Amino acid sequence: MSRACPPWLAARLAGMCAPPSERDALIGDLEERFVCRARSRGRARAGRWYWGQAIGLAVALLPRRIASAFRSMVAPGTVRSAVRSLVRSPISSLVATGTLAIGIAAPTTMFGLLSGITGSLPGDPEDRVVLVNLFERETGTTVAVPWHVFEAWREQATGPARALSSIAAFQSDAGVSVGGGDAYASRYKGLYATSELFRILGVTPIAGRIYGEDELNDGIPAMLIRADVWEERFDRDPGVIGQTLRVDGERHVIVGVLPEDFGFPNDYVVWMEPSIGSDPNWSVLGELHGDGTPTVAMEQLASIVAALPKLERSTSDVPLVRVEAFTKAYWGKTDEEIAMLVRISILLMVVAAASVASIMLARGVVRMNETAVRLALGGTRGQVMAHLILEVVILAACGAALGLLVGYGALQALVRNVATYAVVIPYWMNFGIGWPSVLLALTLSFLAVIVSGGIPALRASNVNLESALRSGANAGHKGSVRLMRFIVGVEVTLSSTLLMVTGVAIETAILSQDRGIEFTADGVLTGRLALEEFDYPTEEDRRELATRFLDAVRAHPSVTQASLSTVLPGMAGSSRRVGLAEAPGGVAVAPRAQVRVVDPGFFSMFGLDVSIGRILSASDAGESERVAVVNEAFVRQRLTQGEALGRLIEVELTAGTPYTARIVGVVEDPGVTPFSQGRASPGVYLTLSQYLPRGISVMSTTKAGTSGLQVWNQSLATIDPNLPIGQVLTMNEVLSRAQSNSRRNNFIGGTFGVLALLLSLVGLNGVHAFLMERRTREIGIRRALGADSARVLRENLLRGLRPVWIGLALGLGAGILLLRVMVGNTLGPELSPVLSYILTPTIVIAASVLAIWSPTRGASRADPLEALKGG
Amino acid sequence: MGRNSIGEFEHLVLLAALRLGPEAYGASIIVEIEERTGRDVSQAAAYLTLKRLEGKGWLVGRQETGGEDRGHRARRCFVVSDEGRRRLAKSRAGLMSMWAGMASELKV
Repeated sequence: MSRACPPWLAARLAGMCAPPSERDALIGDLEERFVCRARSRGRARAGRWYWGQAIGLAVALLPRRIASAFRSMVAPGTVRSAVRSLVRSPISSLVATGTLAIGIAAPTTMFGLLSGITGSLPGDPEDRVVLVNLFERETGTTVAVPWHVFEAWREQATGPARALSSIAAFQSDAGVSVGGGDAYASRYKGLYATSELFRILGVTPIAGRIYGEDELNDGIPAMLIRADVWEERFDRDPGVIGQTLRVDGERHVIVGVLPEDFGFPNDYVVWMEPSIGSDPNWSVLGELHGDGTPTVAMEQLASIVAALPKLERSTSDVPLVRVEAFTKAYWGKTDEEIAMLVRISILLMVVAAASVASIMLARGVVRMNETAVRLALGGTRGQVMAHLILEVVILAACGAALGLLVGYGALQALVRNVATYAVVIPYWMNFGIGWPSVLLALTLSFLAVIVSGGIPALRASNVNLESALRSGANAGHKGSVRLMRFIVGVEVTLSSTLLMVTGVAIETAILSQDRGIEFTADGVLTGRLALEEFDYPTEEDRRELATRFLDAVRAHPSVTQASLSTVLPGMAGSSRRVGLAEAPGGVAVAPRAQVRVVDPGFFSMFGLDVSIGRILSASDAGESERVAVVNEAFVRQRLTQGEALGRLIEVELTAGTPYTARIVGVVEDPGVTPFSQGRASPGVYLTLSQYLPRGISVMSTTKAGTSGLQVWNQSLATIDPNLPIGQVLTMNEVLSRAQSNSRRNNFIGGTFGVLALLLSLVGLNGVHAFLMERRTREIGIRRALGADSARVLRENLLRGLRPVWIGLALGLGAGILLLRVMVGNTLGPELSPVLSYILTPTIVIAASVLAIWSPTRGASRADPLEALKGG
Repeated sequence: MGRNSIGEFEHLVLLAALRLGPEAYGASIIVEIEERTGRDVSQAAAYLTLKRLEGKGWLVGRQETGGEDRGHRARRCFVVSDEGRRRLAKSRAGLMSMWAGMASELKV
């Protein structure tokens, strides 16, 4: 019977556990016992026993071995020596640290942004709070939840045996008029919500209580206010509970005050009991029960809807139900540009890692001589490896720490910029450097240690002294040189791609803006008036208010100009279907245009010159024929045949009811109707005298030292003291906010592109400097034989640029493909970012030449005798 | 447990080494303990204890060539040193003193 052999893998594992000097005895003991057991209990049982012993040895001994190795690595002497090595070459050490820091900072910032955006509601780490939507089966568009559906769900879909424990309805209003009468009027973001909402969100009032279901206090509905409103209007008076405020014309009694850090859904400050009117525009929030899932909740809610009568405005027989985590539903609405920025930052991270790898590979190869001498003088392979790895560990630790710091700073700056110019950041989103970012930084650093330090360390510790000293460290380095050239090529490819995409994006944005705003925005103050139905039930009421208000403002001695408009100039506002009255199919199939309803003074205020016909006038009012003015883009794109003047157009201002008007004039409106997708947008101007919706903007300029807002308030005080003016901003602030998103994204994208190029150049410079140093002897021989230094310089420059050509070609191709996917063919003929296609390769080549110029020039000018001596 | 006192398992290892004399090495010591006490002994525990005792100077180790049943691998044999013997004797005296008159208590 053949002698039983233990499992070889277990034997290898056990062998790893002991030092080499004790390994044989340990394995021998194990094998002896294994043989005995195999004889008495069978091979299978003996094999299992052997595995148990091997694992026990690994658990008991491996940590000790690693700790021992670590102690030798971080022995004070080794650490001092590694630090000295780094300090001796400060430039490459700083460059490697900075490169790694950049590679870590970019994704740290983006990951911090992403984790904040996708964060959970306070007190809901498992995302049990869900948003319930109805949507059309065919089109996928969301359908409003009618009140009776919500009631059916509340009655049948919540409870112990159901997927939802509770459900609430809410109806947001971006602006409610609060106050008036005795108190000053303000516009606030307000929410009508059933009382369950606050229990689902886990918010506790800091004063008073949450209102109950259908609560009425002496016939007055209840409301809650936020702490900042309490401070602003009541000076934190404890007696606020029980006081009343007028909200959208109706008195509400304050029953509670909510904390200032609460603002569901997005910086809302007043909450009222629901006003169940004819408008079915409800949103529904639910809380999953125990182990309930969105899928089960969806099925239960859908079955309830199916049993109800067909919903109004629904085109399908039974609309579908969607249940998803509220924060996910909210995040889904946020810009997809965030996702693009995350991808770009990961690209940058790859470029940075490649740069670090090429720098460290070059360092490792250059120091092979030094390593060979260390080994010859008695150093062990382990000590040499420990020294090299420790150098990279120190660099990686510094790079990681710096990267996290820079990433945190960039994240906070980005969030501040967004909060200042773009959107209100929801109260539950917190942006910081969390454990995913730290984990990423440590992982990247670890990879940098492995790739850029481990491989050279292993190779260096195996170097042969004689061959290394004889061949001047050229022997066996061809593999390293090819690897370095490949890495540089990859870097150039990635950075060229990034530069191309961001260059086109920036150029497109600049061209759009250059062709955009040409009207005078300086000194213009803007505000918003909401003429709600409860105070202004008819269009005549609204017109009277608007006329009296505008006249009062213009009559003020400090006001130089004033106007009203439904949409501010430069803003993309009301997109409506506009078609020719004679066109077949009617307005329902007409393409869209930007529609503004203005008073006649708008044209002179913003310098809109008429090119044909006339502008709107005060006589276009009352029972006279409805008129319209169009812009030149409308004429170019929609009226290709025949004259513009006198043509009848139909505007779909309300669904199903076309508003017919005759074109009386054509204007140039540079930027008033903004560009869209690089094209000038067709625009239509109607007159407020003939159509006045509920929301209008007021714009005015005043003499220096006069407050426009004060003039407006004074004018309104005598006409309607209950009417607040909201969204008071200068025209420049409005335009800044509108452009801030694209500016910010272009800045970030452009920064990434430039950083990627810089990182590539760092790698290119490091590799080329190493190659030139290695070729000094060869160049010296050629010069000694009569080669011209200019020719030598030219040849080496071209050789150094070889990986750049390839990388550039690949990068430009990838960039063009990517742009086609992202942008398609939507850029109009007026806008063609040709400059980017020319500048990107020019910049990459020029920068690459600069990167390799210095080492190439130095090597080509070296004294042949010195070069031959030094080798 | 201080450096100078003998742990329970150390006690067993030293006694096994004493019993086995020149044939005391890792595997044989483990087998001796398992047969006499009926307890399973892991290789890791034995290895660490033998290293520790050798480090204290209570065991003296030497490398020898192994037989076929261990694939001719080397084996490390141990001999209890004079200091080891002295410690064992002292420990025994202490234990015997504690055990005096206790047999009837445990009905042994």
